[in-house]
Amino acid sequence: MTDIATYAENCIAVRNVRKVMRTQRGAELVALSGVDLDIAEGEFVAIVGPSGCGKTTLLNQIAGLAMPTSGEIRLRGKPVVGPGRDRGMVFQADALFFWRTVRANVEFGLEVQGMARQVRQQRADAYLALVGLSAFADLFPKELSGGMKKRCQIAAVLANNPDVLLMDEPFGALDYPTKCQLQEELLLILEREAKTTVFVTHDIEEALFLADRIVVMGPGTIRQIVTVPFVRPRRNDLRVDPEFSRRKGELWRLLETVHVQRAVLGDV
Amino acid sequence: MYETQQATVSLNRANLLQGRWSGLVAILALIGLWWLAALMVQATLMRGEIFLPSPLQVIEAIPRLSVFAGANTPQTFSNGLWVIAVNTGSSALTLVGGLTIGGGLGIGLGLAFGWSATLRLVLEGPFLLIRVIPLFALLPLFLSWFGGTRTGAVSFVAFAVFSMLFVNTLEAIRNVSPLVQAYARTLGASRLRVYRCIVVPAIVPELIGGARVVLGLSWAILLAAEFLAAQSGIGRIMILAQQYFDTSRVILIVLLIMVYTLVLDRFVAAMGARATRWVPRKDY
Repeated sequence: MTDIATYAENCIAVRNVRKVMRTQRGAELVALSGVDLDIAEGEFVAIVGPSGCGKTTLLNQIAGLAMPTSGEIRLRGKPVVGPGRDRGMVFQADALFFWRTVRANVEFGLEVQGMARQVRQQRADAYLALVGLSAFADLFPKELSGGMKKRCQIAAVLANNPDVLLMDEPFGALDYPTKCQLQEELLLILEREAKTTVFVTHDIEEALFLADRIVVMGPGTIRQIVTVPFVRPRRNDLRVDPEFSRRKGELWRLLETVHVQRAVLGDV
Repeated sequence: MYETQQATVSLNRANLLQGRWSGLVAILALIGLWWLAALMVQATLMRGEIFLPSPLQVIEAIPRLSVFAGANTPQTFSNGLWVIAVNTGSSALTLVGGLTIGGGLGIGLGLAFGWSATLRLVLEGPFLLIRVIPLFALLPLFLSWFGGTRTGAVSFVAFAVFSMLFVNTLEAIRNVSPLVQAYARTLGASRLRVYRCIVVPAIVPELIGGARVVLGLSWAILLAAEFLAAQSGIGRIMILAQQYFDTSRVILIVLLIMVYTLVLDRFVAAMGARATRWVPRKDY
């Protein structure tokens, strides 16, 4: 396996991470049982798997929002000990500051950085333009549609210039056309500013369309890592490519075996 | 797009006007019923105005308030209104003092408790015990501590306001979405900044709700304090009027307090509406 020497080459190194959680009634639940994962600089990794298999838990450990029971996570060689500006996170639910306008939402991280007001506003406006929200900068989040709320979050996280982009089923709650559009936009944005990205999803088409590698998880462990061969830049017409459909089929069958195994486990 | 918006706006305005008018009609009808009842009571009972004076008799009671400015004061409308103004001022001073001290302590300590887990662990139990003390049972205690001074009345109002707003603040802090706080942390915010820039603005709507309840009750609490021990104030003249069996004056003062409470509540609601523009609400 990988040793200490390779830490430097990786952007993110997950080493033997185990996470045991306690339920309200005190029962122990093994959410992650010894996960190893290396993510290269600039790589886009998608994590797929049935619900409850530990995808989000793994992402939360990388974000530093929770600490592993044992094992270690390093970011560019430095151990992760808590959340930080270097890892921007786009959440599944609407993580927005509802009392701030759209522009002020994007400005929050920049305020934390201590950026001057003018620079902050310019930067916020630039990122709002990038996600197509310029006309909505002075609205409150409650006045935005679901897709616009997501765009606002992405703008806020990107404006903060993190090294790593962590995304937890960000498009899960959106309708199919909006989802496809936002996926393509995300790729366009990442073509402009390359970021190492970890993207949790249960949608295999989404994973295949976006990622360089797809990590297929079963309950608490990594089952298989699939390399996606499609060249970049990728555009929406890739979705109807026969090769895309074939890969999707393969991935589907792979996920099904994970499901079956889980069902058997559940019966015991 | 614009047409529909304008249509909605004018519709809302029409609804609002209609609402105002029907409200006014209802109030006038109630006054009419009151008058009718008063006439019937006074037709059947000797000195029926002690039981139920008519609206006109209540207005006529204004000059009789003059006696509270000194026994020899001529009983005129202007002297009566002067008494109202002076005693309202006195009560308002007590109320503002109590609200400021109690509100400041309640929200301040609530914020401190929300920040510090140690503080909660050690002191939350004792502090919540304050809430289960029957408020008015404390009134005699405050009387023996402070006598019939303004300090006593202010302390009593402050105590009541404190206990309500403390619980309100702490509960509001507990309700702040953990997701939004986690999100702020991933953007690089320190714990202190999350508290200052996320928790504090997020609790404002709940605090305003609490403040409206407290303001409504604060007049009642103030009256109780003034009934027992005060040299001046609305509660003081009310209890004096009652001792003369002058129900007209009592009702006059009740109506006054209703107006004051209503004005205060409207004021806070208007302030609150601006501060909570961002809260997702259903618009009709």
